[in-house]
Amino acid sequence: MGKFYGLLWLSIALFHFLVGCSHAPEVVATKDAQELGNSAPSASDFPKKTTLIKEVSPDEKIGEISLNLRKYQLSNGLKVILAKNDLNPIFSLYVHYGVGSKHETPGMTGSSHFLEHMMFKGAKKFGAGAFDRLVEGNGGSNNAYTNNDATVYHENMPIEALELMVDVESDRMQNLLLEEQGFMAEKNVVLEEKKMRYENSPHGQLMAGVSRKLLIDTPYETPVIGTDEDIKRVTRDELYQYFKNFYAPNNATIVIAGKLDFDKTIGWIEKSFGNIPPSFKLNFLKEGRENPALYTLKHKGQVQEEFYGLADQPMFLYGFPGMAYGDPSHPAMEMLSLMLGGGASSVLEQKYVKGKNPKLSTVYTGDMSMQHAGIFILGGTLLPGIDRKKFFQELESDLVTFCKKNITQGQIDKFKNLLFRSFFEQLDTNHGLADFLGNEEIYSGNFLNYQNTINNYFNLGPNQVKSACEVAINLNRSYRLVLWSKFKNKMVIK
Amino acid sequence: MKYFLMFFFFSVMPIVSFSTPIVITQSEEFDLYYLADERVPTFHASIYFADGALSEETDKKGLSNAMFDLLENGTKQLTQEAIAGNLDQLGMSIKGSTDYEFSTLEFEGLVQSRVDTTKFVCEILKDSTFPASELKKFQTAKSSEIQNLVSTHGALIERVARQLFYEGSPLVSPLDGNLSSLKKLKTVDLKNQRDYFLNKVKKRVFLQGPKTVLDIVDILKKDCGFAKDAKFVRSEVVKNLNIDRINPLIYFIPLPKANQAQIRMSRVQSSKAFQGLYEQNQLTSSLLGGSFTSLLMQEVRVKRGLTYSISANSPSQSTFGRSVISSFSRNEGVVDTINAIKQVTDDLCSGKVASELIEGSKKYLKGSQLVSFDDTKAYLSMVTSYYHKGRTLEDITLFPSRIESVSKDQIVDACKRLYFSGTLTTAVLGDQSLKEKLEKAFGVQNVKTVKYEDYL
Repeated sequence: MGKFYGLLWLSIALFHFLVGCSHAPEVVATKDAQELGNSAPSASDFPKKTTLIKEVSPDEKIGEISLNLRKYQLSNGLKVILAKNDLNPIFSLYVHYGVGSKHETPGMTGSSHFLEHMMFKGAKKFGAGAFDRLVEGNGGSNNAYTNNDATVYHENMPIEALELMVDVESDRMQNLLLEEQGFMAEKNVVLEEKKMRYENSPHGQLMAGVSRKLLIDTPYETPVIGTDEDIKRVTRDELYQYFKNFYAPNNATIVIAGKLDFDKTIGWIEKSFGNIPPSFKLNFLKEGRENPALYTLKHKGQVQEEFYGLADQPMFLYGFPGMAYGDPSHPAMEMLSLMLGGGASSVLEQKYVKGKNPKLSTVYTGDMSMQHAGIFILGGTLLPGIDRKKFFQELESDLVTFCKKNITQGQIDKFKNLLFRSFFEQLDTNHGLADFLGNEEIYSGNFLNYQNTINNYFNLGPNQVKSACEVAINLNRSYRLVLWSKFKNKMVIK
Repeated sequence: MKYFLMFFFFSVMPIVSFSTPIVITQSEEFDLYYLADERVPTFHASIYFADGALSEETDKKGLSNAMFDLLENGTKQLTQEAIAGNLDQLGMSIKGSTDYEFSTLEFEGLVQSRVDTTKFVCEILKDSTFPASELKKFQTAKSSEIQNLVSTHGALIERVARQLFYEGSPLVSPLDGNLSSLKKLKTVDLKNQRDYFLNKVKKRVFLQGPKTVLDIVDILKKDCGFAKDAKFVRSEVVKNLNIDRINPLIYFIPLPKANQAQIRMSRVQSSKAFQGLYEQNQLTSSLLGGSFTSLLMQEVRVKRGLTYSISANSPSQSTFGRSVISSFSRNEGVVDTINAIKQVTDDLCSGKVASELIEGSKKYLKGSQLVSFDDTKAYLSMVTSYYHKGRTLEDITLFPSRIESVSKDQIVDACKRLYFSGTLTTAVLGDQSLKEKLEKAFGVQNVKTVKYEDYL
């Protein structure tokens, strides 16, 4: 079977681009703004000012999407997005913190991710080791992820547990215990995770190698999981200070999707989070890392490297400059990915995998967008007996002419439905919707940016995709990495 | 929570499980299970066939998997390239998969294109020609993929360990075949297998999406070539699987330069260890290794820091099932990890478990079922699995109360049946240096070294 679009190209993008900081300027036009007071019964004792920033009613159908949304902001800067969906008596709660590997200083690499692990160990009010028991004991599941821009925590649970989980999340935002004993044991867990994700995975090695090369001398250069040396070295007190620096309401966005009551839910959030003071040094800590100029990709030239790797057949990955998530040309980059190697009828799939003389067992493309920069990737695995030098010559020759030859309105129209379907499928569960809205808010500063995305998809034309193609498919700013177990005398990528 | 259960025999049986209703409609071609979901303008359909890899001849293992994989590689009217273009144009995808006792062909797309999408699925299902040139490409790519498993340690040990655990039974062959069986597949075999599924095997269709997608049902009935009298069900004819044995060996699979050891501990049994025991087995597996608060996760990861991931589960089909503990650890921690697992399982099997942990696991499982309804595709997949095992929507509805009624004694019984360390076969894949460590810790006579190359 060919490509089953659980959408590899998109999942690659989501895996890496992942969220950014919530400090982006508020650009949503205020509509029906009001102060919530006694309308939230549980919060009547907490006269905090919470502003309703925006409402979207289910009658406002955009691109066949019908959502029932509200966005609020608490006086301490905490942003809250609520999505009402009455299909089942459950909810998904996502807390997006605007801290990721780009905020780490030398010697502290991996701290955002390590802290993510430690956030499950317990906080003051509910006690050590209580978090997972509270979640699972109330019929829920939880997890988290960290990336270059952000750290995101999430729970999926029966609706009866919503008030409790709001309180539990507020406890760990302000009162993390970070006990020494669990801290030391967790270092080994993180090191094993690193082996699993990178050292024992050619795909992980390829991604890490290409990311590091393309993102050199930017704050994204740091590997999200950190170096062995830093993971082993970091102290409990340093990590706790990192927590105090970045875990604050004005650096967070909460998104809840499910069978919720808007007023009650924002009341619970006010009650639990309203008294947490904002971090006044956050701007100072982050300003050195949020300047877009820092993220200009400096990689130049056509660089090729080969390393020893576990792959029985040569596996390769190209990295090219891509686009940041919020870039208006981002939909064009997504389309480019489908046309080049993501679709069943894409140029590379048809020639090198399905063609008369196939040279690859797999080929894939991906648009890895982060908050301030992006990488476009192209990877694959050679079939046995294929001369890799000749193959790369032929492939690169095709890439040189691709932007001029292959991007037509007809081709774009062919792939549009695929683009729409993958977009809709992000929204068909509470957890998918909550993660999506949080990412939109953090990346673009506007949780309603999906409306623009849908319009952009409708309006995509050859000129936009060609422009994106000329930015991305540029061999003069490319890096090619090949791993193979027969490169016995070559180094192992670190 | 409210449970509603209603049956209308003969034609339509609307059944409500929590707030998500499933409507069942019976016909000569297939039984339809429809789950309404209006959230986004997409739909998903899964055609279930009541036979799988057990239908394959010994020297043609991997045939069903190859047949589904090659459906979109040419029909009487369309080339592979034209089919690929249509798939993209419709914004659809199609994917077949085979298990031992059953197979599924799933497709999904945009609601606005549902009619064309479904007609296209029927066309490639009914008229695919499996061109020899495409089969050859498939065989080359698949062989390369299998050989390249060495790059993915988790996938490699799954392949090798399953064959070790299922040795001597019809289940021993990997579902996608092996390097030697793949070479023997011919176009005529693929056509015959497709015709067998269309003409002989009982089908069910599981459909999810807005109500408008119900108009594809008639297309599936008329255009896909489903025979009306197809009644064969694999699970009714597999009687003796020759798998009920105890083999507490440790198999070591050396992999040079691996800096992490993969561990699987398993017991394979016939259905008597699973039938009528679903909730007991689920609760026991969950308590042991089904979540962050599980006994194994707390001891092996949280307390000892030996692994990033550890899990226990007990999947079953109609006639057999297996219990399996999966983990990995750094090389120097492999003996400690195995010993820790044995300690935890044997403590549970002897009843050393706090009642509040059992209660916590019960709440977790009940809540997980409710939360799982949010992903309607996954929910339908669960329904598919239930029906395959002779269970019904009523069993889904009754799951919470049945979980609640499982006693500690029943958990101990399930543990002894599924996870007692003296009954588990262990497979360890890792660096060559582990051989000596394992032999020293567990005895030379209890460690058998096998080459992964012999299981590709």
